[in-house]
Amino acid sequence: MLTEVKNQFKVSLLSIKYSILRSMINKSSFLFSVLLMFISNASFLVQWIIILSVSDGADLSMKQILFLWGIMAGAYGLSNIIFCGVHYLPQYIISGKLDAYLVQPKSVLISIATSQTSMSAFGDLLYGYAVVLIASPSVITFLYASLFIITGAIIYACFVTIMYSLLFFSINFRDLVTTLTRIPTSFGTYPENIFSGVLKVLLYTIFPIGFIVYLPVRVLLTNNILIALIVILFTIFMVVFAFVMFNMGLKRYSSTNLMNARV
Amino acid sequence: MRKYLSIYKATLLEELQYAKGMFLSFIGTGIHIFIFFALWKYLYSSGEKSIISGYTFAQMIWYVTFTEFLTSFSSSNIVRKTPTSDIVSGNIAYTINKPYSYTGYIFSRFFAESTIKMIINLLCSILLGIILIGPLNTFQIKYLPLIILIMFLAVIIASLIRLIISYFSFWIENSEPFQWLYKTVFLIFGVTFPLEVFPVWLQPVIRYSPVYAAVSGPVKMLVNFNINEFYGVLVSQLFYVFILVLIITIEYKKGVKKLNVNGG
Repeated sequence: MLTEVKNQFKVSLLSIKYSILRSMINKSSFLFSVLLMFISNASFLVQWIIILSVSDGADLSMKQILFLWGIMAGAYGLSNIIFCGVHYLPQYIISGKLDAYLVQPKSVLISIATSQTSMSAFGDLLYGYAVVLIASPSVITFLYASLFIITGAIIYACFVTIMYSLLFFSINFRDLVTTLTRIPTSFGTYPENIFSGVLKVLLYTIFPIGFIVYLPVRVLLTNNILIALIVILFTIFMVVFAFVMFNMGLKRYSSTNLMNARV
Repeated sequence: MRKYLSIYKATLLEELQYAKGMFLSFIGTGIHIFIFFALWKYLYSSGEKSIISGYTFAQMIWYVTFTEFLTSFSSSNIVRKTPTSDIVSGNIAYTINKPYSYTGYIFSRFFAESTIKMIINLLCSILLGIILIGPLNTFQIKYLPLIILIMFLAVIIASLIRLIISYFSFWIENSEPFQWLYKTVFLIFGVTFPLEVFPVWLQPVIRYSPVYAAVSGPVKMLVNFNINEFYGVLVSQLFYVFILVLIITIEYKKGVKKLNVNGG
């Protein structure tokens, strides 16, 4: 069992390594994407400077916004560096390209998730660390930020996997499901103070943005270890849930006559 | 002109098949509108303000609803991704020897897609605005033809900029990062806030920028029409249409020559 896990881990690391190397083939294009993504993210600080200038009386601070952007950008970036393959699930499910992964003696979901990487995601990750450390340059912040960037990346990848696993049951929802997978990045860059009622409940349940970014920001602001533990436990729950959903869906997968191989 | 009309008609029929997909894609726009609604609601209620930078809460929400409506056109893959992929893959070679201009071909397709998008998004935007905040009392129906004119020019300006960025692919492999930058700049300086919310020193810069001509200026006229400002927006739009058409013509001519050199 332990050897199997070790082997899976080794293969996954190799898969991630080669995905990253592939994305760096054109070095200038890679560096350019990273730089522009960093600048694009940084531009949003202007938006928040303007919002804070008209927010007298509101419970918002620049530190909170920097943490929010740092964790969200970092988690999104890391998720798209390591698990970018989950975004290709609709294409694989609909066109029958899963066959190439099914014949491999390793976890199908992990093989797919680690098979792709996004160039611009490195810009997101760098930006994430930069703004968190600008807000609070300390070792403890760095450690907390690293922890939450990792948990956030895993939760986000699991959320996308769960959503796309629904396509095993019906491919008619493809557009809707794709739109829903973008919800965490849309809501995750705005503070939770502005949302209330049923929406807030949704942000902690169906769309787990609360666990990706809102609770981590609370930990960074209040140093509450209990909240950090809740985030870790939720991450484990999401991993199990994503595997259960994917495997349930996989039983309904039917191949096409498309010939495909992974070398 | 007839050939472009034929492309328009053919694309219109093709896009009609995907009308359901366009309706679903409005959900994404609707989510953004809803986030801005929550944000502005929080900002207006936190200091119990009735007006921020000269805008009532209702005007602000309608402003955001229609800036989102306008930007939904230029996010079209036809001006953003198709030319890039045609250039990078070399498929453009199949279209440049046809008896039409490639830019004209792209725009005919873009207008066809926008026709359907306009009907769906306009209905959904109005419905969402009414549900969120109710009717816009400052809207004056008598100015509607003038507002339609500047809205149309706004869509042309935004899509021309998108296409100019896509044509960067003649020189660089991946022009997509510039599209992200475009989206961010337009979102921050046009979609989220009206001009008056920005610091006084920054307002002239935005007023004379394409962001004002393509987003904030026309929508401001819808929310609170002023004939003098209308002329200002119109002149700025005509200026930018002229400049952008000039740029795209020169850019395409030079780009195609570069493509020939590369043997694409």
